Amino acid sequence: MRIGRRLEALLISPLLVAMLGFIVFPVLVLFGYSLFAWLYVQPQGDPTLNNYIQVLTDPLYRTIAVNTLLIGIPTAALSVAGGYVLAYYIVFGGSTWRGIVLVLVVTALMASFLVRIYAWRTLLGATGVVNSILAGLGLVDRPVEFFAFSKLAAVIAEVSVFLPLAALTFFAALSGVSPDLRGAARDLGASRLQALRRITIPLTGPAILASTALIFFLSAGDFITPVFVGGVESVTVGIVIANAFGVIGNFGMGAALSFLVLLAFVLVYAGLRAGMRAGNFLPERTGQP
Amino acid sequence: MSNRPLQRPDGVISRRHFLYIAGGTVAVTAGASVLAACGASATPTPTTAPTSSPTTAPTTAPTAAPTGAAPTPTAAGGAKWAPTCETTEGKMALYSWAGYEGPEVPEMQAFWKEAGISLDFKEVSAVNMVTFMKAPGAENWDAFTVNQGDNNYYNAQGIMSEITIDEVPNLAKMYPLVKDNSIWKIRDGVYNAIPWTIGPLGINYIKGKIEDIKSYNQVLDAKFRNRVGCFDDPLNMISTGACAVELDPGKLTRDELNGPVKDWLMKLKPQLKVLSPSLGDQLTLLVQGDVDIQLVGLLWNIPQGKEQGVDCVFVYPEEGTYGFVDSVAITPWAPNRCAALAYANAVMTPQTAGPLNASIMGIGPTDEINAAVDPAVRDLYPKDIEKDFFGAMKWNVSYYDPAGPYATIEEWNKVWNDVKTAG
Repeated sequence: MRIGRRLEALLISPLLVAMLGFIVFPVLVLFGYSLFAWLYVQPQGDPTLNNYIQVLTDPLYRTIAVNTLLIGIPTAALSVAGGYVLAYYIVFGGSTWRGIVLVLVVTALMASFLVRIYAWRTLLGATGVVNSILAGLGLVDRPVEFFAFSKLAAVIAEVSVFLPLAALTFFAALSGVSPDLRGAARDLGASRLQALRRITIPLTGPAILASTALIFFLSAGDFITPVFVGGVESVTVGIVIANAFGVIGNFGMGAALSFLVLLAFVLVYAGLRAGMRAGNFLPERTGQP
Repeated sequence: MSNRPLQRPDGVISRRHFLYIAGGTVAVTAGASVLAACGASATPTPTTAPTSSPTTAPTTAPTAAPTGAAPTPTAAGGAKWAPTCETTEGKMALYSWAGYEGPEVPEMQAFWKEAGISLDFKEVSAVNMVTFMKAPGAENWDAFTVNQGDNNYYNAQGIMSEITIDEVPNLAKMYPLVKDNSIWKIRDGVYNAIPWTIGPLGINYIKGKIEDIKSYNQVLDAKFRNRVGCFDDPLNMISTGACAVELDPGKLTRDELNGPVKDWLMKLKPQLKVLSPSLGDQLTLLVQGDVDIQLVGLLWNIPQGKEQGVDCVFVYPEEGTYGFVDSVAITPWAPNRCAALAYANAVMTPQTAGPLNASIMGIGPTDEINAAVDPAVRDLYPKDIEKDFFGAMKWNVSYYDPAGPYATIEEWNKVWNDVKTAG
């Protein structure tokens, strides 16, 4: 049934009001913060772009950006790849274990985020489970240091959190791919790999794009994981923003950094989308919304 | 058969009309809720305390009892705990660090009861205290805890009232180095806060696990590479660096900050393995064996380590170290100033202040209080507190004026970030 524009507007207005009040307005306030110098939770002087200029010109922030990418990119890549494989197995696999795997994936998401990150500290630490097993087997005579408090540890911890999320997203997307399409491709001579590459993946392309972008944004913006398991080498943009707001009260710098990160995310998303289109990982546009 | 279109019976609402009504109701309800929420949160910040620039004097707080008559002791013990008040009964809102109200100290619990105070205690971390003091609702505060580093700034913001020796008589008995220190003293007999608990920061390690550590510079030894932890906080780490090169963190110039202090921290960087998000996390890492040494160490970690079965050592580094002095400040607009004064007197009275300080491994600003501190804690400090502790310790101060002679907390943060991200 088609509904009129007025009714459409009326029905969507509660959501619009909520979005304006809880998302748009606070973001505008934050943008306002970024245009002032701050002296411990108080704006000073006239509006200025100095915060943005400082972030763009200071080498410190380049290093922080690199650290962020060195954690965010592997996390997104491994989570998406691993999640896709897991979801593919759950949807198309022939084993009776599929249901159990799905339950395990869902269960993994139920535990608190902070608890899961802290658990990795215990698992990977000097006296943790991994080092204890290695020492018990006589494979090492002192704890392996780089397991914990390193970029590797941060990536491992974040993948453990985001992979189930990706798997569930792909489970929904793959469930919508008709087996007939894959069957038809095989009938026409395509190998399993060709069917995957030219039929299944393009049909789930939007889900791949959304998952990759979402996981990258969440990982790059995360500051809890680098703080707890990332060690000295994992000073990321999330930590710096948290410090700006919470430690030194420079709301302006924190806000400016936040907006520049937001801009970077938009560019990353656009680039990812363009790249996936160029590689035929997204379905062709048909003119339908 | 009739060709007339079907008509809706009278009184029956069509589906379209129902959707109109439902959507309109939801929109109105949501809009009203948003407006109501905005109105409820728009509580104005206190207007009785002007926000002053750093050069103006703080607001003078009322000190006289409401009736002007000489106070007489009441059943709630008002005059005992607050000589200029008739009564101390009522609710008191205190924002402070965890444990500072003495939840497990019988003497403090007895005090709250005797003074007739119903305590509304909110735990706030140091980094959030300033944000809270600027937020709506701050007008409900009676008192809060302030670290010596922030004293001057908070005072300049007009959120600390003057407290006289008439109101807290034991202020007169403080060690001279505290009593005459301009961090707290406004003029003779008048203070901006009551400095009641004091402690050092130094180095922690597990006894027997590594060689005995005696100095900050010993931590730079190659054998401790990637085995050192610290608190990820610019205030404490720059103070550590300043002490390590024997400079005063309370008077650190920009040249000193970007010169010898930063150089020392850069040498420290390869030794660091973990940057802890909190002081408590540092002990956890030490106990778990992830690090061997913790900078920004506390005496507090000794009993905490014992509870976890390890012999944690605290060291006063040879180069000298810095300490903390936490004070109770009373807001100029305190709804129950008398209760706040009672608390201020309690933390300066030996019978209550001694056990309270012992519970947090601190000492007090007077000989009488320190004589009442548990000997097990008292022995962790030098015998001659005035000479060997107050005379030797350094105290950091957070500066916020970019035109001032000393480096600001923001400049400290920049240097610490540079050190953390250095390759």
